[in-house]
This record gives sequence, structure tokens and C-alpha cells, in this order.
Amino acid sequence: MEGAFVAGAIGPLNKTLSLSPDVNNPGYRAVTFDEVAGAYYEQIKGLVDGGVDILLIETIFDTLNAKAAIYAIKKYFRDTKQKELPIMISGTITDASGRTLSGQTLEAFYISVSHAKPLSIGLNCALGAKEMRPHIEELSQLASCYTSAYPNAGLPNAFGEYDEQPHETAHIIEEWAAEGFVNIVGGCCGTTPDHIKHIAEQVKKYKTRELPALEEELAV
Amino acid sequence: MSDTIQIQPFLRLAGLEPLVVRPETNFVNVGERTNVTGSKKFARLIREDKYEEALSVARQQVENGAQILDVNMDDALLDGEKAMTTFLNLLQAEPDIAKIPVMIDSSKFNIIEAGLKCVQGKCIVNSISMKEGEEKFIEQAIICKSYGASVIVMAFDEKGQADTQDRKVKICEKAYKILTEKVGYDPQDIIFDPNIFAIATGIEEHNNYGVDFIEATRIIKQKMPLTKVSGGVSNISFSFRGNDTVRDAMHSVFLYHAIKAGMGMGIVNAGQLQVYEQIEPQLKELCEDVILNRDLESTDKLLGFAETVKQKGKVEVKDQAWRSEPVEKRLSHALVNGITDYIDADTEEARLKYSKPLDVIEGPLMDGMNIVGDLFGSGKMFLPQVVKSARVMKKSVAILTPYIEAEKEERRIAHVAAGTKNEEGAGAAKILLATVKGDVHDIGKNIVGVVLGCNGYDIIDLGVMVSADKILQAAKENNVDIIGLSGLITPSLDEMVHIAKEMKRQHFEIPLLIGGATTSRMHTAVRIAPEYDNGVLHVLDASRSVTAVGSLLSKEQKPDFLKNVKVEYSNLQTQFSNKQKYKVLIPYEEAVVTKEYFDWKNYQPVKPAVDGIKVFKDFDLGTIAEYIDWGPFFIGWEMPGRFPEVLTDKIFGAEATRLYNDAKKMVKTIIDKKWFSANGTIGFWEANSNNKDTITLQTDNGEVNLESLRQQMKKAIGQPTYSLSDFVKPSPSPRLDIDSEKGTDYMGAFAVCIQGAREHIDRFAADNDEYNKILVQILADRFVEAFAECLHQQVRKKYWGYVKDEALSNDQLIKEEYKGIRPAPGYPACPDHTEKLKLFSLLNVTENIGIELTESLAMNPPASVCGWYFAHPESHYFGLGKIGRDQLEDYAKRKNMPLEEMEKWLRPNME
Repeated sequence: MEGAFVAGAIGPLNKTLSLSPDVNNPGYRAVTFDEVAGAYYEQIKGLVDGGVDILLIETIFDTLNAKAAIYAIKKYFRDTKQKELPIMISGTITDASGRTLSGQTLEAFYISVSHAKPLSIGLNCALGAKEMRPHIEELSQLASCYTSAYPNAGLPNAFGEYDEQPHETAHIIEEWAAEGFVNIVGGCCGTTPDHIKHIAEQVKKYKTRELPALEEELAV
Repeated sequence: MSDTIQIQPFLRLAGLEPLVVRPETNFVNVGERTNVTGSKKFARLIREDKYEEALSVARQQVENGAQILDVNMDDALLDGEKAMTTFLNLLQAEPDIAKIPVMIDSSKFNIIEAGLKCVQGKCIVNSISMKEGEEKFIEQAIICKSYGASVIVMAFDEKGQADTQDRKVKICEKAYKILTEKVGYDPQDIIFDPNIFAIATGIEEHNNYGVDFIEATRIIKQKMPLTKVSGGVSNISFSFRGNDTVRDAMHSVFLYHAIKAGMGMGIVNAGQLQVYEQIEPQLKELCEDVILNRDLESTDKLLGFAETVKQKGKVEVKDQAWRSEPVEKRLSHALVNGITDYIDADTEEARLKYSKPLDVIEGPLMDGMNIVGDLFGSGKMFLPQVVKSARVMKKSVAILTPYIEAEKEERRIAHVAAGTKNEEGAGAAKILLATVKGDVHDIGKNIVGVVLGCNGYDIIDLGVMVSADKILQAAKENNVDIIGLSGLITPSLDEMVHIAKEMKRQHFEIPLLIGGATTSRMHTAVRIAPEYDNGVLHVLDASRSVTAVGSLLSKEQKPDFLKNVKVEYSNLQTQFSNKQKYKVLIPYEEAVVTKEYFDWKNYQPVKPAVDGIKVFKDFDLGTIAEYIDWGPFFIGWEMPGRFPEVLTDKIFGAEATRLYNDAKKMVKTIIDKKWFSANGTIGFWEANSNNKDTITLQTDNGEVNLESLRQQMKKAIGQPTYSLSDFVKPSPSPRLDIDSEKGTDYMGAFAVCIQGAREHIDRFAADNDEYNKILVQILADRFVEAFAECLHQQVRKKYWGYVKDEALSNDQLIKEEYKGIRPAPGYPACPDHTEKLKLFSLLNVTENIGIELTESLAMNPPASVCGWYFAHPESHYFGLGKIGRDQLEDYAKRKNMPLEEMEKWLRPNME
């Protein structure tokens, strides 16, 4: 489609680098950094060959896995001597503690992936828009790049289904836009094309978040 | 909507939680105790695999206020990558520790990278530098950056560590430019370590090191304000090791000034920093003088003050005037401090004071040596110091011995006259030491002898090349309590097995200790221990020999100790036999096919400039000395670590520096007074391989076949199974191509030795000067290795001439960056010692330069080296590893040697 960019999604693995799957052996790891980076490298090659415009590392619940993806991206473009594609990064805050599954606070997570020099940093999945709000607000204060958010359609009900209606999701996200928290929005689990349509209509009327000023000298 | 947010260029790090270093942060404490080079306790825990407890060291650091955790696993005895990975993985499971960022500290980049792969937060790498050139620096910086780490850059370039203010600043500026312009680092992610060196060492050039650091810091922060300056603070006070009062005060004073100049971060013992204001005024003043180099006499004054301070706060009225103490105290002071100046007079005085001369030895001398033993055991004294103590002891004992003998004789006569029996001889425990038959290496054995001697044991040293008969006979005659065997070359292992069998046959009951470079715990457990039932123990180094001997001689401890060793060894035996089962070897025939293939078609062998053999007599020692690799020198003294870093090592830096200065002095004497004579010979021949494992040389006396061995372990697909013969151009029928220039390849050989060392070793021994004896012995080894290195370079550039324009630094030579190799028969690539016989005959070594071979094919003099020269640019060193019976049989047939005999020589590679 004319005027649309395609972001190639690099999702999470079912194995994680910072946590041991064996409670009796906390030093054990089911996978190595090199294996993870190797798998991502292959995926990146596929995505780039397929013609994506952006690489999106998303639903990050272990920062070290994300770092392996960043490592693989940097290496891929170094190896192939191509111009690096923009990187978007989207982490996942799993619960009310405000931390990632691997235990980092939001700011620690942001600092740990900022060497990717991403086009945007944001959050997705696990939470509905309502629960995500304080975190996206915090992130908008920290991030020197664009911010993104694509929450789930609320929290799932007892059957694992999402009940939040398109206009409800859109209403919360509209508020974020009004407050200037975000540059890029969307929907994750449980959202439908109809949700996206509603969100798009609601945020259209606001200016996107203004990028922070990067000081090059220390304020005296 | 709010005003535009401003983001400041702060250094931002993260563990589970963020650490943002703002200007008001003032100073970031980096916890230093989780460092195997700096904390004995931590090192022991890691070595013993007690990671749980090791984590508690980390926890303590956090509780004491460390904001970043420095983790270092640089220990020669550790698999650094593995230890780093294990520790960091475990650490991630401890949120109360993992909350702070990690500083991954290693002098080996592979360990750093292994660490970076384990940590989700943003780390600091400690450190990278331009010591191996810009290219390597950029490469490592790019890797650090792709893991998202901030970097510490040490002020170090190819010329060495920067010591002056000017060099520190220049190197940091250059690194800054490269990192920001070529690598893309943000300035705030760069941390400089402009090298904190020890001051008040007694060496004048060191006096300004404190000022150099502080002033360099000031300029760095002015010129590059976003960067940070860090450093290992405890380095500054090395020379006051053991005196925490003075050290803590120096650290506080130093930090006070360095922080004011802009130092924003430092590696410190987070729990131990003293408040600047609370330092005792006189001490503070003296520390300021020393650190700011304000007073020429400041070092002496602070040393004087340090003498008066023992424990924190306690000021003793002791002075330096130990000379006015009673004679017992003087003797013990002389022993602990290794001072021989007054020992003659003091010994004589003590002899007159005590009723029997033996009482002097068993009284004050032993008391002093016990202190030395304790200090050594607890890591407060180092090997070179202990050896100096031994020198004092020996000198004193030498004065007393004639009197003791005279008394014994008197008593004997008295006994004879009275018709009674003499029951003397129950003194100190006796330990017999010997280097086994066929082996001439004894530096390590001598060190063990000295250290045990210092611990009060009576040492009977039978020297080198001692047969089993002689050892066992001497053991019986002297009624010794322990036998210790040493050896460096592989055939010595068999000899040790033989001695163990003999001990059993002759019903010995005393324990047997095994040591030396070629021995191992595994070999001892699997081969020697099963042959003798009354205790066999492998001892890794001199410091461990003390505890082992102590346990073996204690009636209470011995049974349990031996039982534990037995259990440990039987576990090793099981482990070994399990490993055997899983060791996968491929058939020899297959290994030959997967040999390494070079592009011979496009290779033009270079004809050596020297035709036949060339002999070098009395090669210039000054030239050789420039090629000395000091790394192994310090390992010889049990101070592992890289050179020159060992000189500033947190634990033995000061002592290593002293040792280094002594060694340099002796090197100068060796050259000036021509103590050594360096002789060598080289030779070159036309050579071709047969596409398998035989290399045929064309010599004036006809063809000579050299036989090589080939790796047989199963490797990944595409990985060649190496053999030295792969490095020589193959020719299916060597004779055919011989005339055509293009068909012929070449090979060379060399042998070098250092003669004349023996005379000085004996002279020092006669003078009871163990320290200089071992020093000259170790230096002879260094000289011969340097000679081999030097000659190899001249061969490449001139005598063979295949790399005429080589320009490599000594460092690069040590790292083997040159083209071509010089493997030695008996070493990993060609472990068969018997090929040495061919080398000796080809070069006529014994006649030309006087090296002789023992029955185990060790070379005498011990400071000898020989090897083969291969020129192909892709030839490389490798380890043979295990081989199968099929290859052994083929090899024995090729060499025309009985299978059993061949197996004996290759046993270490068979099992």
C-alpha cells in the first residue's frame, strides 16, 4: 500500500536468557546468548530479504533476549555492509509491580536497550490500556526517542477472551495522545481492525509527543 | 502540555534498577571484593566451587554501599570464562544483588565477552585499551558497544602504561577521539582509568605517580567533561601492604584530592573507607606529603610512622631501632625481613647466651621461621620474601653447625667411654627431595625445599637425575619421614610410577609426594597412587606443600587426611575411566584423509640462505636479554598474572616489583661479567612430506625420515586433524621432484643452550644464598628461551630468510605473531621425545655446542631448547591430544621400534 511502512516483528522466544527453568539450579540456562543471537540473525536476514522497512523487537519480557536481538541486528548490518534499518523496541511490563518478567524496572529496561539507538521505545501486551497508563507516562518522560504503545484489549476474562470494546480502548488511548505521552499507538492481543480504526480516529486530532531536547553539555 | 523535556547527558547504567550518575552524585563506589585477584577469600570460594558463599561476598558489598559490583575471575588456575558465566548467571537470581549494575573486569577480552552475554542490565567493561594497537581497540570497542556496555579505557598504548601526566592525558584524548568519531560511543559512556600506581616504593620515579594521576584527571575532566575518571584506589598504597591503618588513610587522602580534581568513580573496598577528617593529623599530614609529593623525605617519614602503627589506632613505642632489642627479637626480625647484615654477630651472641648451640636453632631461629611460615600461609608474605628468609636461616645455621657437630662428637665419645647407647636424632621431621632419574630440572624442587625448610623441616635434597635405588637407600639411611619426587619431562612420570612400586616392594611406610610441571593430580591418582598404599599425594606448588606436609606429619590428622585423599583419588579414577569411555577417536586412516591441506600450487618455498649447519658460539648476551619474556619468570616464583600487570597486582605487586628490580640487576651482571655463555646451532635441509606423516630430509649423509603424529580426536566437520607433516610440501615420490626448484620444500632445526649457570648456582648454594641461587637458575631458563626466540627471528629474517622484512615487537613475538613455528620434540605438537635423537644427530648438537641427552632424553644443561623450524605462513602450533592404538602401531613400525617401547614414550597420549 502506498505510504505504509512495514515493520518486521521480532517476537520473544519460548526460552529465556536471564532465568533458569530449573528452580533447584538457578545458574542453569536452557539456551545461550550465542544461540539466541544466531536464531535472531537468521530471522533478521529473512525479514530484510523480504523487504521490511523497520525492525521491531517486541513483547520483550527478558531484556537479555532483546539485547541478543539488538546484537544480531548490529552484526547483520555490519556483516552485510548495508545501511542499518530503523529499530523499534517494545517491552512488556507483566504485572502491577511495574517490572519486566526478568525483574527490571522500566527505566532500567530502557537504559539497557538504549544502545540500539531505537527509532522508538514502547510497551505492548500483558496489560490493557488502563493498566498500562502509568508506565507509558513514565516512559514518555525518560525516552529520548519516539514512544509507542499497543496494549491488549483490556485484561482477559475467565475464558481468556477480551471484552473491551473498540470505543473503550480508543477512549483511553485518546487521553494518552492528549497528554502527549505517545508518538505511535496500536493494539495487541484481543484488539481487532475495528479497535485500530477507532483508535486512529480518536488520536488524529492531537499533536504527537514532542521529542525531548538532548543536552550536549552538563547544566552547571 | 508541559514544556519540552530536557534529557541530560548523564552516564546511565542498570542492573534490575537504574543507576544514573548525576553531577551531584560526587563519587560512585565500585565494590572490589568480588575479584579473585584482590580477595583471597573470594578466590578460594570460586576455586572450590562454593558459589553460594561467593554470592554472599557480593551481597556484603551491596550492603556496605557499593553502587556497582566489580567482578573479576582472572586467575591462572581458573577457567575464567566459565567462572564468570557461572557467577553472573547465579547472581541474576539474587534480586538484592542484581539490582546494581555489574562491572565486568578482566584483562582477557574473551572473559569480558563471556560476561557480557550473561547480564541483561547495562554493564561497564573494565577494561579495554590501545595496548595492542588502535585496530584491536576499535574492534573490542565495537563489540562492547553492540552489547550496550559503557567502557573503561585504560591509559595504555603500545608503548606501555602511561605513567606521566602528559602521557595519561594524550592517550585518553586519543582514545576519546577514536571512540566518539570512529566507533560512535557517546562521551558519557566513556570512563577513563589513567592508572593509579603504587607510590612510596622507594623508587624515586614513583614518587610523583599520585600527582600525575590527580593532575591528569583534572585535565581530562576539563577537556572531556562528559566522561568519567575511575581507578583502582588500593594500588596507591601497595608498599604498605599489611598495614591497613596507613593504607586506609592513604586511600582517603588520595580520594579527597582526586575527587576534587574530578575523579567520579573508583574501585574501593566499600566497607573500609575512612573519613578524611577523622584521620589522625600527623598521619594525614604525612599521607598528603607522600601523595602530593611535597617533600623529598616523605616516603621515609611515612615508612617510619608506619613502623609505629601496627593495628588500627594502636601506636607502639617501637621505632626502627630493632637493633637495640634482645638477641631473640633481632634474630626473628632478621628472619622475617630477610636481613643478613647482622646475622653473623647475632648468631654468635645467641650461641654464647644459650647453653647448647642446638637450642639457638630450636629456640629463636625456629620461632622466627614459624612466624615466616604463618605469614606465608596466610598470604602475608610472598615466595621471594620467604626465600630471603631462608637465606638468613641457612647462614645462621651454617655458623652453628660446627659447634653442634663438635658437641655430638663429644657425646659420642662420652657414650663410648660409658658404654651407653646414643639415642639422638629425634629432631625435626626429615623430608627427602629428588628430581628423578633422567630428569635435570629442579627449580621447582628447590623452591619447595626452601619453603619447607622455612617451616622447620630438615630437608635432604639429593639433587637431580637420582635413581630409584639411591632415593630409597637415602630414605632408609636418614630415616626420613616423607619422600618428595619432582620431574618436568613426561618420561619422569613413568619413573615416579616405578619408584612407587619399589616403595611397596620394599615395605616403605612413609608418604610419597609428587610434584613438578609435568605431573598432575589426575596422573597421580590414576597411575601412581594405585601402586603404593601408604599415601601418595600430588602437590601443586610450594605453598601447598606446607599444609600437605603438616597434615601428613601430624599423628592426629594423618589418617583422616590420607583417607580423604584416597576418596578424592578414587573419584578421579572413576572420572578418568568414564571419560575414557566417551573419548571419541576416529580411525588413524581416516585422520590421515582429513589432514590439513594448504594451497601448495601457489606456494613458492624459499631456499634457506644458510646451506647445511651453522654454529653460534658465545652469542651476544645483551642481544638475547632484549628478547626475555618476563611472564614465565613470575610464574616461576609462583606469582601468576600477566607481565607487566603483575608489577601492579593488588596482592603481590610491590614484591613483584622488588623481584623484578633484583632480576634486572642480575641480568646486567650476567651480561657485564659474562656469567653465561650462549651457544646454539641451526641447520636446514630440503624436505618433502609423503602426504601422510613422514617428512623426508635430504642430507649430506643421505635421506633422513622424520616421523610425526597426527591428531585423532573427533572434530567438527571441516576441522582438519593436524600433524606437523602437513606443514611441509607433499611429494608422492620425493626423489622425482628433487631437481626442480619448485618441487622442493625445506625444513630446519635448532638447538640452543646456556652454559655457565651451574658455577654460579653452586657458588650461591655454597654461600647459603637460596634467593640468588634460584634467581640465577630461573634467569638461565629465561635466557635460553629468549635465545631461541632471538635466533628464530634471525632465521626468519636472515638465515632462512623467508620473511626478510619482519618488524615485530617483543610483545608480538611472545604472542607468537610471527610466520612459521618452532615446535620442540617432547612438547604438545610432537610429544615423542625420541625424535630428539634425530635432531641431535642432524645438527651434531652434543659435539657442536655440548648439550647432552639423559636416558629419559632430557637435555643437560637444563637451560637448553631444541626444535624444528617450519616456514609455511599457515603452519601453527597445536596439541596432539589422544591417539589410538592403530596409530601407535603404525608409528612404531615406521620408526622401527618395539611396540612396548614406543608405548612407553607415548603413554601420556595413549590414555
